[in-house]
Amino acid sequence: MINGDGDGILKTTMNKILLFFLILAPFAAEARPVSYPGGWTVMMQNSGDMHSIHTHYSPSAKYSIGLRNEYDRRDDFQNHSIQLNNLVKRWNNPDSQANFYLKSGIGYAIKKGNSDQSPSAFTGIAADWENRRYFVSYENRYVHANDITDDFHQSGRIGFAPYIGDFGDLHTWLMLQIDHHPEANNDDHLTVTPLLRLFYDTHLLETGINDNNDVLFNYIKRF
Amino acid sequence: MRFLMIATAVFFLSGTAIAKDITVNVNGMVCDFCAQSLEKVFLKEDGVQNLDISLKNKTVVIQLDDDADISDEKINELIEWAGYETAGIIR
Repeated sequence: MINGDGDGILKTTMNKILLFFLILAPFAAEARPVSYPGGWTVMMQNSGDMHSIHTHYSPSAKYSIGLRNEYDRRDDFQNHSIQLNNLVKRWNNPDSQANFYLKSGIGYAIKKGNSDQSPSAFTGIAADWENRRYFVSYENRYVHANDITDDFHQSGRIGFAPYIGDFGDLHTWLMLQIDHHPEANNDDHLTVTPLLRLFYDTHLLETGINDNNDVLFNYIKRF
Repeated sequence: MRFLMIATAVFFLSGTAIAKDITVNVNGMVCDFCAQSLEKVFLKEDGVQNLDISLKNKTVVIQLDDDADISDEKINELIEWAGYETAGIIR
């Protein structure tokens, strides 16, 4: 536990790290939301904020459409949406790749216990850059559902591969994720999550724990 | 008898597809998901026997059936359809 000046120093440091992300990674996604033409993907994400499952189909490498079901732990509601992901631009370079995505959805939000229900909508951008050694990403999302939620969230990542594998090998990444929730209370306003990404064949698994001791567990499977 | 055996072997071998390779340099191919995308797209094409992908060399080696061919334009089109970019084709 850090108090007083230590807390201030920590917050200042975290704000600097956030600023670093926002400057360094303006074009930087936690996971690519568009697959190969004809490909299906299931993405499960679990964190201190949310549990979600997003299943999508990619008619082309430029966009995907799917269903997203999520439970927001912070505001205590479920949100069920149809989500469209557009790859707006990809930069294919000899040793790297960068992507810029637009992710939007419309659906229906239900407060726990059915006390409140409302149509919902969200939109956000995601961007990433990676080569075989380094990874940088940024994404944000604004969700609105009348009286149930009006929430903005952004996050960034940097990653490093301790070794470089070839096609078919187990790929390992060490990553640091910073989440920024402007409307959250002080403890959750800015969180830092060191995480491990393991990537083998069509499976991608991520696990980590943030500075509030919330566990992150993500799993992606492509078909 | 010996002639018959040789003739039979020649007959069967002539019907067996012998792969011929085309090497394609690909930009943007940095991870296994990228490589899998290319596999999915190319292996749907008639005449494509196999794909040998190297992330290290940034190459895709297309192995074709003996009687099959694929034009550079088609290769470019498939690479682009998968979401990537051709940097060169070596035949």
